[in-house]
Amino acid sequence: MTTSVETKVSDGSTNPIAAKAPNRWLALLFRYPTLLVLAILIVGFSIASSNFLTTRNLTTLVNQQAVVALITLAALLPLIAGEFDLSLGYAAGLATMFGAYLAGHGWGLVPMIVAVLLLGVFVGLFNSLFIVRFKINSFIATLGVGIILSGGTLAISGGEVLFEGLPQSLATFGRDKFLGIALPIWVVLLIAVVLVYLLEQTPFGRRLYATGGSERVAFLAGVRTGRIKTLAFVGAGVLVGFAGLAQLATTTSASPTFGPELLLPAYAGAFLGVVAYRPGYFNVPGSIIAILLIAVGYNGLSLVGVPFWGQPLFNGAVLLLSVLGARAESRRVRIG
Amino acid sequence: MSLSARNISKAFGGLQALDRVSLEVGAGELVALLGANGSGKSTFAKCIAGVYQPDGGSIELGGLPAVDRFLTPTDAARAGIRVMHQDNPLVNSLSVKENFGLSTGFPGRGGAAPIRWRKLTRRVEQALERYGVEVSPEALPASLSPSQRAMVALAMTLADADQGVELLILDEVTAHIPEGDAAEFLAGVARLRQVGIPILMVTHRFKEVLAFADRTTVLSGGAVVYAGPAAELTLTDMVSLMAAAPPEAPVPDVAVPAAPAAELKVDGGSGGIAEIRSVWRRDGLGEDRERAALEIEDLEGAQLRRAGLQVRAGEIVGLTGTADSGVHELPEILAGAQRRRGGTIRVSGRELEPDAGPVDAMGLGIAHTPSDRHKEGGVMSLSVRENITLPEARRFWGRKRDERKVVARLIEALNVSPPDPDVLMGNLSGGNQQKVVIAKWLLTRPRVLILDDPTVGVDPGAREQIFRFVGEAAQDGLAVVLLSSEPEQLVRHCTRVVAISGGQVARELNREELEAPEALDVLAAYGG
Repeated sequence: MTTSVETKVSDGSTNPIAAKAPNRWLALLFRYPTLLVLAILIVGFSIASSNFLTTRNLTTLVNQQAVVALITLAALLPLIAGEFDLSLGYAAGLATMFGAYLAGHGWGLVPMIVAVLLLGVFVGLFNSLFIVRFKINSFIATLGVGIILSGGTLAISGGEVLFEGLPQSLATFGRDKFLGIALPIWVVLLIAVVLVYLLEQTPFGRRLYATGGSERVAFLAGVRTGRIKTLAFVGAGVLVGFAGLAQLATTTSASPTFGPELLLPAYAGAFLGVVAYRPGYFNVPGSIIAILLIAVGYNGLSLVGVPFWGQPLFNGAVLLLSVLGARAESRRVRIG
Repeated sequence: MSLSARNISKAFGGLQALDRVSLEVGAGELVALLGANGSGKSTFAKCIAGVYQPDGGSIELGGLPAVDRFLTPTDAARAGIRVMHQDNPLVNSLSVKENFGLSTGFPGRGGAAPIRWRKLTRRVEQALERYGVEVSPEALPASLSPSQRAMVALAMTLADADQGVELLILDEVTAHIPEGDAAEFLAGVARLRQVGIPILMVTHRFKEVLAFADRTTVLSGGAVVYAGPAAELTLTDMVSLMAAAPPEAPVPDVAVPAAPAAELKVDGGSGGIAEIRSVWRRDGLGEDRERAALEIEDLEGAQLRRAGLQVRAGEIVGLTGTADSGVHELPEILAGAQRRRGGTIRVSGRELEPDAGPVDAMGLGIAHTPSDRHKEGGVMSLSVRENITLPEARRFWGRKRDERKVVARLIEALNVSPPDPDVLMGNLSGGNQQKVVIAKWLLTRPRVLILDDPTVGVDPGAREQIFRFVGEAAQDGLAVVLLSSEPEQLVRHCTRVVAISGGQVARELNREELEAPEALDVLAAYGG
């Protein structure tokens, strides 16, 4: 009863930042704090190292991000629905290995791609079987599924790196560039655009965010939350399939140890993405900026000569500081 | 040991939550502070306990000099104030004695030194004995009855006050306890008077006041409307006092429709419902659905036993009953959120299947605004716009401008403040959240609207707006079911009221009977 009084809004000025026109630039800045940090880093590294601001360096930097970007996008879907998917890293490893295995057994490019994406669908369904059907906490369920998948990776690889029989066209695709940007990156951007459309313009997106915001409210409002969550996990699985294919295309081999180490960078990107574009919500453009930010930091620091252990310090600090900053900011924006 | 609070005032923003409230509790006295939701009774308790700092007035405890305010709850505790809240503070996985240790400290030398269990046990046994709690220190909270749990929590609240308790505040402690257990617990509380502890009991349950309080103070709109011996009040007095306008701030007359909604004149055009109808029409959905009726026969739930109910279009049928009467299952079952065990539910002759989910219920035109807004009513992290159009997301696919227009009109029709569709739901006040929830459901073109305690945590102004709107909706052909724990509300707004007891319809009061003065007594006897 008193809470209604506490949160009472005193007047109509609902959005103090947007309300004042002179502050529009400031508002834009607050909406994209990571973009600001990115700009500062780019300027700083350009001054500190003559090798940084070259077309060659920048395109190389971008071109290396395809796999981690895809896994970040994969992490986003369950996160928006209010769930975790810890199987992503292992699943990416299995998808890569499965593709290489099929290629080694004489599968053509197209059937192999279809099979890897279907594997992704299957992994998503497997995850949601435990989470939606048996109502197991997604943290635990996806961890269990992930560990099983890593067993699968070891089984089909026999613990070896597979590289034989990969279609030449796949390697060409991974190497070729359009406007200096590698083709896999173009695919990532295309997928990102599709996801932005799905999340922001379709009923599916609305329901996904609502399910993550409050599953009970969404359920009572007629959202089939189980189905929505299943779709989120299947979507994540398909994106992981794409990540596996991107990995095959760029490295033209599959290592049995590949995968798990990508989970934390992907989640860092997804969480860091929350501070930009649509602050307070997991979103695609914010996550893409976050991935670029981390990549530029990585590249710049090594060019400037920071020792190898400086990397994780930088990444962790950026994540913590951005999220702290975003929280302070959202407190400012909140009314009442 | 006593409390003397004088002229306590407190304002939030522009709203005067407390207006010069004075209250005294003497040694060994149990004073009830009674009031409807939003009357300021909890605010008063929080001002005394140092949670809020009053804007004016003074607080005098026992022999201590009077102070203007306590800056923190710790200061208030140091002065001898103990507060027991409605939320059960016991950790279920720990034994009673471990719970005591958590709240009052584990005996031992501290640091890594071991806990002196035997000492703890002895201490807990003493505390439990002192307050007449017959519970083993080893018992797990889950194995205790609700009244025993409450007694343990009470003993914990008082346990660390070795220097003497100047005042014990019970802040709606029985809100989540079944009635029988609550009485048992309050009998235990009443025994504390013998030790001389002054007790201030904040509550909205009349029966508790009648049975246990020595004196009572009734608040309405932040001001004292009655202070005197509890014994001189009848249920009817209390109900009308709680509904009374505060003495010096008359409620504007639009806020009090004298006649029940069903008897209001139909003015055809203006108002929010007309807005919503125009929204449907513009949307190519034609006129609103035909006038419908809700028919429930032999409904069986976890507690419901062969309950029947019929609601015609245009009616507002009130429902009341205690927490264990089964009345609260009804909205859940109708909304497809809970399975029923038997019976039939029909809306205009079309049956709601036994295994129906929310989607099916919506398909039949059933809309349900839950009592727990935070958990079930709205997605607090999404905007007002996204909340309103959530059930209808498909309709607005690719029509964002349309969506904005519809939402803007609904916000205007229901007077949501601030009138901004992009404000987060969680940033609205309770009353405005409720309006958004109602807007959301009206947009689904319901035939049956079920309002489950729609005014919990809603300020008086918004309450009136909500009921005015519901009245209009009923006239427009909606069948409305109103669950409420406030008899006064049922009497004022319903065409008739059905009381549920033991899972069955126990009593039905038609409009004529509701007009009779004893109606409030009857309803209060069945309700919370």
